[in-house]
This record gives sequence, C-alpha cells and structure tokens, in this order.
Amino acid sequence: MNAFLEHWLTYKASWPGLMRIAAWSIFFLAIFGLALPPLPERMPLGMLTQGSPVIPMLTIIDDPRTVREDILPKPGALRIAWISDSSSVMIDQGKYYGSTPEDQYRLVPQRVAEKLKSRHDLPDFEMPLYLRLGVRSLDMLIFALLALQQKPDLIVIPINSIWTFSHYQVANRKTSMHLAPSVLVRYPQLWGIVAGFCSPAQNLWAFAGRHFTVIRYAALFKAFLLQEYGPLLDKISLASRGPEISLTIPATNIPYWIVMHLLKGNAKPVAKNKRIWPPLLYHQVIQHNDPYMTGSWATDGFHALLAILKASGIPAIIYNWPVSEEFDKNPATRKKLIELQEFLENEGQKLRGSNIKIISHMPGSVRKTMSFLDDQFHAAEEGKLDDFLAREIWLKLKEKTEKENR
Amino acid sequence: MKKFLQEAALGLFFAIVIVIAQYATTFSDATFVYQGF
Repeated sequence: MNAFLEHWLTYKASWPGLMRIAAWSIFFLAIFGLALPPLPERMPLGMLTQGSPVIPMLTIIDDPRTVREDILPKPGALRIAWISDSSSVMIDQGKYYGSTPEDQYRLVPQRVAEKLKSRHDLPDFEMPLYLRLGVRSLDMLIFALLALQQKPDLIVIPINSIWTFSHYQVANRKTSMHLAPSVLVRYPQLWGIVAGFCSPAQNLWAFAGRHFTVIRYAALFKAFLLQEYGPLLDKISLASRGPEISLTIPATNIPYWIVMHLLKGNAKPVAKNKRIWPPLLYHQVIQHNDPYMTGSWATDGFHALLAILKASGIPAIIYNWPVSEEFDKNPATRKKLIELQEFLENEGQKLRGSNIKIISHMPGSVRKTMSFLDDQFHAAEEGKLDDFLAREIWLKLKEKTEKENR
Repeated sequence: MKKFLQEAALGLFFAIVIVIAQYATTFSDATFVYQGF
C-alpha cells in the first residue's frame, strides 16, 4: 500500500508541468459548465414592471454579471434607457426602503412612460431601466456606459445632489465593479477607476471568471442548489448565507465619518431617537460637496461621461433630482445646493445645441407638487414631475427626428 | 502515463477548489438591506 501511495503521491514539479496542470484546471472548469441546468434569470422589480414598457435590466444585487442576459431589444421600438439610484423609487410616507416590499415601490420612469403614452402618444417604445438602490457615482457611470453600449435612442440620467459630487462617499458593496474592467477598457481616461476601485477578485472575474459558465452563473446556480439540495449543503456548511449587508450606517462607522470631517467630532447630530436619521447626515454630506473639485472620480467621472455622451451623439437628458424644500432651511446646505445648480447650469450652457440637455434644477412649479419622505430626499408622490420629464423626453426625441430628417 | 494522470488529477483538484471557493463567497440572493442611505 505504502509503495502504491508513494508511487502516486510523488510528483516532481516543473514549470511546464504547472502550465499543464493549469490547462487541465481550465479544461475541467469549462466541462463543469456543461453540467449546469437551464437557470431562469432572477431580477428585482420584475413583478412591478410587467406589461409596461419599463424593462428592469439589472440582476439581483449579488450577481456579478450585473446585467440580465435574457433581454433582446424589440425590433423597430424606440429605446429610452434610464439610469437611476433610489431617487426614482417612491414609497409611501412613513415607510422605509428596507422594510417596504418591492411590489409597493412606485417607479418614476414607469410614471413617465405612462405619460409618454397618454400625453404624447409616443409610439412603440421600450424603457430599459438600470436602477439599483444605494448606488453611487461610479456605479451610475458604469450603468450609463453599459446602457450606451446598447445604443439607445435616448438616455436619462439623474443627478443626486447628495452623492453625485461627494468626494467622501463610501461606495456600497455593489457588483457593478465586477463589470468595470471590461466596460472601462474602451475609455483610457477612466482606467484609473479599475486600478483604484476594483478588487483583485473583481479584476479576476472580469478577465477570467466570467468566461466560465460555472463561475459566471454562480449566483443563479447557487440559488438553484439551495432550492434543490439545501439541507445537504447545510450539512457540509456550503450554504452559509454570509452576513446580512446593511446600508444603515452602524454606530461603529461613525468614527469614519468624523475622520472624513463629515461629522464635526460628535456623533449625536446624525441620530434622532437613537436611530441614525438620514437628513442629518445628508446635510453634512451636501455641505462637503464640491462639483468644481478636480482629481476626484466623482467629478472626473462626470466630465468623462459628458464627453463620452457627446461623442456618442445619443440624445441625453441629465436632470437634477429635486429635493425637499426642507434642505433650503439650512443656509449652509442651501448654499451648496445652489452651487450645484449653478455648476450644472454652466455645464448645460457649454453643451447648448449638442445632444445633451442638462436640467440644472426642477422648476418650482414642479417641485411644489411633489411630496417627499421624512428623509427629505426620496419622494412619496411625483406630482407633476412625470409630466415634466415626459415632455422633456418627447422634445428631445422630436429634436432628434428633426435633425435626422434634415 | 503516471505524470499525465497526476497532472490531470491536480488540474481537477484545483478546478474543484476554485468552484467551491467561488460558491462559498457568492450570495444567492439579495442579502442587502437598504434603509434610505
């Protein structure tokens, strides 16, 4: 027996030998992929948008593929791509996003789509929606570039006055960074994002992992395995769900905000009834924002996006999401919000006559019809915002048709 | 022949390790709680 083991368990390694072992690994990884059963796509917001022109384009949050693969553009239909963070998701007053079931969300793009049909009689159109809660500037940039690759007829992107130009933002755990290396490879001015923000695992996934079916569809296949063989996997501890990811800023993170000078040395200002109270933090974040700062990816990414959008020739509407008038009551916050509007106004002026329209602020007549949640940022009711945005989209599409007919 | 089988076996072993590592670190559903930030 010993002689047998000794014979088989001794291996003299060599560089060519290691290369052959690596080649075998690649071969077996490819073979494993053939064993995967057909797996249905899982995505958020699916139930909510059934039968509407809005097509949720993003996968569940833990799926590194990030974008669904089962969508084929409808031939001949106009396509209005919409990129968004939580600003486009409305919920009832007094509710929280964490505890509100998805089927109670109301989506701004969906309301706008309804207006485009009813008021503007827009013919056959689709609205691919790249929406994910809690995304920050870089995710928005990557989603916008992903949407652009599909060559839509128009693209809509909101500006978030809290996070878009925050240079201290903490990027949440988002799988969009798995796609960053392959999406940004076309844009040398953005390569620094890959170097600075993508983890080795994300780079490895982008350059190697995603080419293997068994790795690419890991999130979907794991869900299937848990469903079919959950108890067995539990026994061998492979089914652990990992810690719950929470975006609530836990008390332990407060020192971080203090170090970043976003809190003035005291954690109390962001807590109300022992709960972190979003507006108190939002005020402090806004007061540290600076759209003119260079050398930050929040601003550099924004300028790069404008240049890429302009070069693409695809009509784009960038609108500053309106926030509650409550923010204006704090003079320091108000000053910063006005600074952002002036910055966007200037950028808009520079782009006058181009394919990009920047809406630097919502007209007061629109904002006063909206109702906001207690967090002063998210909306409970869109008021006339849907009408306003539908009209802007319709005008931009009309302008495009006129240009094409000239 | 011995070397061929050993290398194939090692290749299989590493492929299995890669898959297990991948699945052990991939969440299967949105384990994410959004609370307005």
